[in-house]
Amino acid sequence: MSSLCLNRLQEERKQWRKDHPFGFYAKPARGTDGMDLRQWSCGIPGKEKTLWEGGLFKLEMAFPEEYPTKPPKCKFVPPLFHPNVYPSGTVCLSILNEDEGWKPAITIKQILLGIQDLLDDPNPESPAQAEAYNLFKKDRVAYDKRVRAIVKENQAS
Amino acid sequence: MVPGVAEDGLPAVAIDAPPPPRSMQEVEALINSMYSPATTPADVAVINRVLQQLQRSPDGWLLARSLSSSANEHVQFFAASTWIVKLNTDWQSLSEQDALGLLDSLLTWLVRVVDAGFKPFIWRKICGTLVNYYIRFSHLWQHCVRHLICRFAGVTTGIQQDNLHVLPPTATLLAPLGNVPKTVIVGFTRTLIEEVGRIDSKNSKGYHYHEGMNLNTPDAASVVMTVLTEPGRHAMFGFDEGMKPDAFIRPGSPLNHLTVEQVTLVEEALKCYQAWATYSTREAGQALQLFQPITRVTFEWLESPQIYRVSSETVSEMLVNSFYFYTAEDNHFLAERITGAWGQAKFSQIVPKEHDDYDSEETDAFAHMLVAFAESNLKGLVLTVESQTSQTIFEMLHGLLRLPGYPVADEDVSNLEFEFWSSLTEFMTDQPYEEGAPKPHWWGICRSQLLRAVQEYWVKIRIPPQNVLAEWYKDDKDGFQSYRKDFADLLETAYPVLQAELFGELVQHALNQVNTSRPDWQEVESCLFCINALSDTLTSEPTEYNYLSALFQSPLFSILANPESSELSRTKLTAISVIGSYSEYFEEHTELLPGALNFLFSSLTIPKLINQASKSILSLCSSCRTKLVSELPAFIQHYQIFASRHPSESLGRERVLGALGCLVEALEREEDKATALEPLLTSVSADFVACKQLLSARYDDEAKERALLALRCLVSLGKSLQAPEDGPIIIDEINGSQKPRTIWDEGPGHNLQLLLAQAIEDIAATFPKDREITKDACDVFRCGFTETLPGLLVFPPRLVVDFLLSCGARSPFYDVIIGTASAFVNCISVDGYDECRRLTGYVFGLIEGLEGPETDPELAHNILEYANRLLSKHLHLFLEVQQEVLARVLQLALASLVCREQFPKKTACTFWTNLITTAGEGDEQQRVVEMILQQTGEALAKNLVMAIGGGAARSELDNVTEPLKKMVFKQMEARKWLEQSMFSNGEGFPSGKISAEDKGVFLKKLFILRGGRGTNQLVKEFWLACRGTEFTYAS
Repeated sequence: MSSLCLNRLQEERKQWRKDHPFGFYAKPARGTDGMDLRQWSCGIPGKEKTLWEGGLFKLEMAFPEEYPTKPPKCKFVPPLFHPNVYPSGTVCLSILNEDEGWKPAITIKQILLGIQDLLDDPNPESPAQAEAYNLFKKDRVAYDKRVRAIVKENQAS
Repeated sequence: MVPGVAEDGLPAVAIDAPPPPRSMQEVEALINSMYSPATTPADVAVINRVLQQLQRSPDGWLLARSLSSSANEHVQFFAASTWIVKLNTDWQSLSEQDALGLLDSLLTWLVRVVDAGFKPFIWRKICGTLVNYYIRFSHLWQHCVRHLICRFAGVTTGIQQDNLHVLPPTATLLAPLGNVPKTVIVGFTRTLIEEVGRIDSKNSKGYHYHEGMNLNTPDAASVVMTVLTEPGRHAMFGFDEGMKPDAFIRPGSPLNHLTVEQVTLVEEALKCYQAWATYSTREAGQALQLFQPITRVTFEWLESPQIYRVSSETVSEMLVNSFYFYTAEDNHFLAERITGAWGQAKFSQIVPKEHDDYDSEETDAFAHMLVAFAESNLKGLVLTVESQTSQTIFEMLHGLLRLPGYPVADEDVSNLEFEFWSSLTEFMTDQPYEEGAPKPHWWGICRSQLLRAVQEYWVKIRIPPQNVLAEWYKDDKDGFQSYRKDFADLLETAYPVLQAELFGELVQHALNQVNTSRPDWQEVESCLFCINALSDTLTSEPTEYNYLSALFQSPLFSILANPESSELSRTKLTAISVIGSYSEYFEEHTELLPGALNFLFSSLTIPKLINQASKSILSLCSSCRTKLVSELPAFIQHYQIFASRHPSESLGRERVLGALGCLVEALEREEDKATALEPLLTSVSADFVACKQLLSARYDDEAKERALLALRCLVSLGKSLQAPEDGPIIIDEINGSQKPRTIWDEGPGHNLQLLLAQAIEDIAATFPKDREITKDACDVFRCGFTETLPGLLVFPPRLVVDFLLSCGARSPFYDVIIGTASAFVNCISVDGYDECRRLTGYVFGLIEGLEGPETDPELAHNILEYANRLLSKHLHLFLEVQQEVLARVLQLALASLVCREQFPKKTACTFWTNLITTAGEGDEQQRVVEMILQQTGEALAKNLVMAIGGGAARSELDNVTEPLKKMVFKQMEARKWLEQSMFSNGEGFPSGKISAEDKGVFLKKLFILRGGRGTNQLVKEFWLACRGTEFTYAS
């Protein structure tokens, strides 16, 4: 791993441990040969006073060798029902796109908060999965019900 | 005439605003009413608009000058802000002469305001104005700090700055000034560096300011040093002339009795020091050298009770943000302070035995400083762990963890240390040691410190009794939960160092409680919580499993299973999680499985525990399925009781049914499976019956929910009946040989299947227009698609297609129905071809009602998705479709490439990619595919060119490039087709921003790459050129 990538990830880990928003978690994954700093497992809670409140959604963050020049890839595991999440679980968000809003200064905390915001505020301009997108557009009542069911399945304990 | 007011007297502001003031008195009156507490917020906004208009007018300069002479503080404040507005927006309109005049006015005004004893907010605002002035006119005021001091000292007047160097030194000039003028000078010096520090020093303009700060650094440092050392000398010289100047503050010294003004001055100086030091660590300027000697003086101020809070904050901030500013000697000096007489006395004062006795702000200040010191000096502390200093620091850290009270609700200190202990662990584990070689001496000592910290935390995470919890706010509860998770994180981090010893201790602690007559269940819970947190971290040492055995064999779970006391519910909940987390252990210790599962099933009787208990039941039954088959009848009974008590408990029932499904799957004989499934299906049938009853009683919503619950239970059962991924791989029978008939083809299994399919069809028909019911019903069928062996939910193709077609006839939920059809097509074998033909007829038939992809993008997308599956999995079934139907499919796929909708477009790209690359079996298939490509090639090229010529969205480019690459690589005619589209005028090409020459160059490069990797980048650049430079991502 390049030292830039490694140092930045170590610093991110430190900063996260010192200060992170309530209900979230983010830590390097534990593999067979110890900790892998380039692969993090995270949890994003649904925002209070939204449909997503009470849920905790697991997300994996994979950092490329070129991080922080390039953004990490964020993937819900299992894939999440949401207009801006690809069927594979990958999150489609401008700040995570190298050609769009990504800046090396963006922290893991900001990414996770950004994704939390996205949950209740989908961007219909860049749909990533047909199912959630179509339901969101055509039948909001059914969409909301589906979200509530997902929250129940993924309750924060 | 009032500056800024229109001469014709017409209002120059919004219509709802009061008339513009016509005299200075009116302006002052407006300002006063804006700041008056009696004015409503709406009126404040209106007045503010009027005043802003005046500020921004060309006469704003004059207005500010007039207002500044007022005796009214609000008016003066407004004058300063007017000058700031003008300096920010209109500074270029000032000539050099005007600018120098302005400087004189501002300085004169500041001195006057200070002399007259106005409140600090006025002079602070004027200092802000002066800093703004410096940023605009730094060349006119190079030695601003020194000049300001000279003006206050009265040794210079006006703006004369040439002779500053011949005047007495800064410290000498400063000494006789009063505390307030000194505070003003320090305040200016601090604001100066804070504001200049915000300017990016990387560009040439920023560099110019950086140079400017270098010029001012000696004076700034002198100001801070003088102020921070002077009160001591002064005070001391009054009492005891003989003392050494560097020992200027000691407990009991006169500095414990500072005046309010002195306190303000010293605090301002500490903040000023911090601002300059922070600036110097970023810019590495002269400030580093000149401010570093002040560092130790700032430590001295820790001992002054009046200054302690601000000085400890300064130290903490420096340690956290500007650590490199401190030299090794500084750190040593600070360590002596913290661990010396003062630090020890302070520590015992801020860490009292009783919660009610402590002043949280005093404690927090010390804790922040201590933890910041420990973190930034971690390596030194570790390597000298046996030194007195290190030991004292560690003791203090432990002391903070023993602070009375619950975390978050009562104290916010212990959470500060998570990072320190985690870093310590990482430091220990990061040291490269050879296997088997003895670890250095410090390692063992640090390990015991870590273990102690973990033990201290573990007391902290105990859940408070009900009466305490009842008084907590939501934030306290959330914060406490979060604290526990952070501790779990620390435990995981620390485990590689503490290993089985910690695990054993946790288990032993829990068992000690369990074995007493009146166990402390909160303590047991906290142990179980820790044990749970370590489930992914165990090292596979045999002792760990021995400890677990001791725990699981203990009476703990039978005690917990027994009484229904609500006191125990939290402990039960954690115990349930522990069992679920250690399913791997149970796989090896099957003798303990029944006991654990009985405990879990018994927990299903308590609504609060159902969620977690059902999760753990599923986890255990899934991992230990083969070991549990003998328990199946008993578990089925448990389930039946549970389902009858909590018929509407959807998630719990789904999971438990799924768990039972795992055990059924593990049965060897198909007959036994069918027998075991019967009672489970009966319980689902009961739901269908209940649904019908609810419907007839007009409880439509409840009826639907019940039907959904039944279908989801079936899906859960179906998923668990699937062969496990790590199960034996079945090699396909040789083509043509008959599969052996099973009870699922005829006999009891088959009958069950028929009944089930009928029941699903029946319930789906009961809610013909309901999307959710349709979806869940389709999902039941989906469960069997990927299975290679027969089973309950592996329906014969005819039943699947019958069901899908009747759904299609009932409702327009194409994404659900065609989506299921696509999944089905993906998995069929020869037996299913005829049924597949029926399905294809239906799906492609839907194109007739579709006028283009944009009329129903969802339908278009789904049809193309189906076509894709058919094309890639069963090419012959795709090619045998009637010609006119095939033509419609191709037309849809072509039109979708240039439609505005993303999903049909992306699917169409995949479709064409597949079609171009499909190999086909035999000459005939190849001939037909080639014929199709020849017929559609020109139109395809045209649409692809439309897309890459700017028609597609940026995010679609990679998709569109795929078929283009394949076409370039595989099709002889590709160049001709693409050239035609590229150079046709009018509708063929969407952009007029690119020359024919550029198009030619693009095509040439495209064919040189022959569909290789570089194509995507080439297309991206071409698309950008076609879109033109005005393109932005936001568009």
